[in-house]
Amino acid sequence: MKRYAIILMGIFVLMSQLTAQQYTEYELKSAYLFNFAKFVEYPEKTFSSSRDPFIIGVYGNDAFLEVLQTIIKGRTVFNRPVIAISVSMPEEMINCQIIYFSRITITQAILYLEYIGNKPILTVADNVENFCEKGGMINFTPQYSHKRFEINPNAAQRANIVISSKLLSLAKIVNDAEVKF
Amino acid sequence: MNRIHYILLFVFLHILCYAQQLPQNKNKIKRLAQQYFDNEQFDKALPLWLKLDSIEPNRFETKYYIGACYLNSTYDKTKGIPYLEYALKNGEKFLPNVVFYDLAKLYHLNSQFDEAINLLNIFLSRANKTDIFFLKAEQLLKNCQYAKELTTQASNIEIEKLESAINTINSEQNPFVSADESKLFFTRTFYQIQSNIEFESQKKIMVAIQTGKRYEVKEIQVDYDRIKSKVSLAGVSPDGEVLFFAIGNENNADLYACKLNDDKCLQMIKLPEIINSSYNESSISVSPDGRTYYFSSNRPGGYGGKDIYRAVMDDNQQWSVIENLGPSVNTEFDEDAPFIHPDNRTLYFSSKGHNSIGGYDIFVTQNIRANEWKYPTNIGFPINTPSDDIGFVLSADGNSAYFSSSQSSETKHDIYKAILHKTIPLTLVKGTIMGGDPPKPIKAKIRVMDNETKQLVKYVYSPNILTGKYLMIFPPNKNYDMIIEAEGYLPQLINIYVPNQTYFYELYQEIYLKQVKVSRNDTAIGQEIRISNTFYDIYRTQISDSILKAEQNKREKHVDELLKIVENIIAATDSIGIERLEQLSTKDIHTDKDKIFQERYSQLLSNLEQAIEKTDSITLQLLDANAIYNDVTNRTFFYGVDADENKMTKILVGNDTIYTLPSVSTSKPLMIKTPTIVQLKVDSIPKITRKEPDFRNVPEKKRRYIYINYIYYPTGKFDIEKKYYALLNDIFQLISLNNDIGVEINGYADPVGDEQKNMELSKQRALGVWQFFINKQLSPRRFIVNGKGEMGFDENIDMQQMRRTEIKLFEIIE
Repeated sequence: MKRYAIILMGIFVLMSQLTAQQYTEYELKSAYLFNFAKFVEYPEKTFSSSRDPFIIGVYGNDAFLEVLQTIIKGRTVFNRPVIAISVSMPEEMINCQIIYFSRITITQAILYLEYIGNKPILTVADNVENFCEKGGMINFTPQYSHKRFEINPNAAQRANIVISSKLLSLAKIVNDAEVKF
Repeated sequence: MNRIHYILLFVFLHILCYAQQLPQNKNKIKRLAQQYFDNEQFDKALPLWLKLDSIEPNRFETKYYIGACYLNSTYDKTKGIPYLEYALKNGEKFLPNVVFYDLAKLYHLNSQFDEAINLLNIFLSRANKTDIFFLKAEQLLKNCQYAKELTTQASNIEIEKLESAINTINSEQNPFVSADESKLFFTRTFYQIQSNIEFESQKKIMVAIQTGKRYEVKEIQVDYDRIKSKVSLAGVSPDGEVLFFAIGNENNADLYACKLNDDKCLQMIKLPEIINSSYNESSISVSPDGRTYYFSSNRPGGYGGKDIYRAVMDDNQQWSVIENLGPSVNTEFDEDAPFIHPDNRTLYFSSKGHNSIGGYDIFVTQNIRANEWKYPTNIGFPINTPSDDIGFVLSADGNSAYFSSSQSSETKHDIYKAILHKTIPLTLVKGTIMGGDPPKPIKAKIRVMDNETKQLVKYVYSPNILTGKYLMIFPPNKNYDMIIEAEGYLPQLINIYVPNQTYFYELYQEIYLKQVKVSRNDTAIGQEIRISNTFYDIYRTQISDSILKAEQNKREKHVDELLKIVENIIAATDSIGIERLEQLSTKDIHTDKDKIFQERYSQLLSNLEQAIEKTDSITLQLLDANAIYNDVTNRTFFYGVDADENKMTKILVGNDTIYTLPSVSTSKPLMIKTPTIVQLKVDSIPKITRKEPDFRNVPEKKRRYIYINYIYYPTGKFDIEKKYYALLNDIFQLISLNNDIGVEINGYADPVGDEQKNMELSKQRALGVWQFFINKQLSPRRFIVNGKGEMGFDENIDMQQMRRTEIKLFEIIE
């Protein structure tokens, strides 16, 4: 009986916590991006010096970038300061640890994914259809989906990025699509 | 100060102390001090008198001079109080009557109103009515009496002096804020000391950009060299994109407008003649619809001193009328620095008349009808002080105000912020407009039309070229059409709905224009617009709406009670993380936005991290279900095969007719007053399934063709040649992204050979193209496939042109 009460209370706490706070899409997605960084391991030589910041590049959505910048202000990942920048050219993407593609068509995304190749950069897209099938690593799904995001673990593996099993178990796992033509 | 008066006094005192023998150096000091004093070089005289006072204390005449110096200096004037008090106490009989008035002035500055009133009464009873100070003393007496009344009124206004990056040892004046308070513009006056006299050397226009809690202060780049005159800030448009300057000297300053590009001033434009007279116009405020300019001027024909006028733009965009705001606003004293609030009714201004408590005070009045104004009220303590308080501007939500005050020094101003704890039911629309791929800020113009009155809001919003940002303010419960004209795009009409709410509301809007291109030869065949609206209702309720805040408090209390119970249980079992509980119980509501945000975010980040850590998908789903997703409206307009203007919407804007793309309506916002929780069972998550129309049944006359292209074949072949893949892929892109496009595929053959076989061949050609799309997972319901055989044969056409497949994209005509 007592145990039952505890569980009930636990649910209450959880709910009241959520009732008190409601977030916008951009805030939520920013929070996800920041947390992805924590649940991902990069190869050893990703950073050239111990003082290098952790860089999140945002493609195609300055409004999102602003929200992200506010949220990550003053926070750290792996003891490195996190910064977010706007990227629009492929050359700018190479220095980032995470690239977030927003408002992009899959054809364009493929071009950028090809350019990035197997460099250790976590590629994340905002609800871009077939992003993971085409070699992207993480893709947000539409609101109310069963799983909040999909992951293509093979794509990450090719880039020597290890995605935590915890993230994987929360995601819809997607494999590379067969090349058709 | 009256010079003759002091000279007479000097003669008088000189006779008085003539008999006494002073040491040589003392005499020298005294003579020098006296010289400076007579020359009205009070800043120089003061240290000498102070030195004399240290040699010979207890001399009331020295004390008097010191007091008089302080009174006339730019230092802290109130320091003169003890000296004048001493002088009056010990030498009342020998000192002129005016000393009572002088000390009363200092008391007034120091907010000692009772003492000031007392002395003023003595002065007025003894002085002759022809005394030049008589009228001034009477005015001061009134000021003190008003001040006494006002000080008794309770106020919950908080005042803070802005940080040192803004308020330096120089004088900061004329503050103006953009409606969202992100930018604060002001004039900084520099002083120079030459032969011990401090004088105004230069004025510069500055901007302070708020980033988080701090301000980054930059200089606005104005071509001072070319202007040659003094430039001071006279006003800022409500969206913070246009600055107004007053250029010229104190006798004839004129108003100029200039567009702001980051921190550069582009092209100064002098305001029309009707506004700029040959007298002094120095401050201006623009109503949010851009139709009315309020400005101050000392032109003749007013009520005395500077008066406030307004210029109204008529329907032909002409400034036809200039009106003095009339005797309820303007007095025989100076009125200046008007500020019309975005609600277009409330006018704040500074005046030395009315019931001022000293110098300029800030007053508020409201428009009753046409040019009729309520009797203004002094906005009182703690904003108004006995010194000059001027240039009051209010943020759009009505909660904070900025003004400059000279406090104890009469010349040097500092900028203060007042938190009024009020909210005004307006909607602030902040947005960005972008174009191209990837999206970049574009040059654009936004015009707004009230849908009820069909009246155009006169102000043309021009988004910042570098950032694409714009800012608009609307009264509640209205329906507006926004006409967006951007370079390289067709005009676009957007309908926006401003909710009927009772508190301040903020809407964040992103508009994104893109040209739809198909083949590699870069011809645009349509235009796509994507609008996402996010209503920042919930943030604001916590910050600005007191009612909702009260509710919030209740809820917090409820949580606290719950927590206590939970805590007891945990104490026994320790099965729930203590950390999380601490986070909840220490939560506190501050008015400080930044802190709220940072707390919110910290909580979000840690909730999410914990959920991932525990692979708790339910929490993730709850967070997602309760998140306010941007309300995205997406619409693609195709120009059509034969570009026709018929499909364009014709609207009359003033005298112009503008053809715009059909209106895009953004849906009404979710009116979430208190956050509602969506409880989810895993099975009951709503799935958005859209029924796709079956394009196969669309009759030909209902099809509006938007795009047409061909694939050609060698004789007798029906395989698609490799060179067409790029084209087909582009078309595929277009179809897959736009669900309301249907595709018609028609195969043709040349008339060479058997007609039956040719029909077969044409079908194979069409099917080949169809197969290409079907293989890419497009629904077969979207394709109409026909083999047309030798149809459309024409002797004038080359044979090769006949061996083709025609791909036509169409929209359904409603």
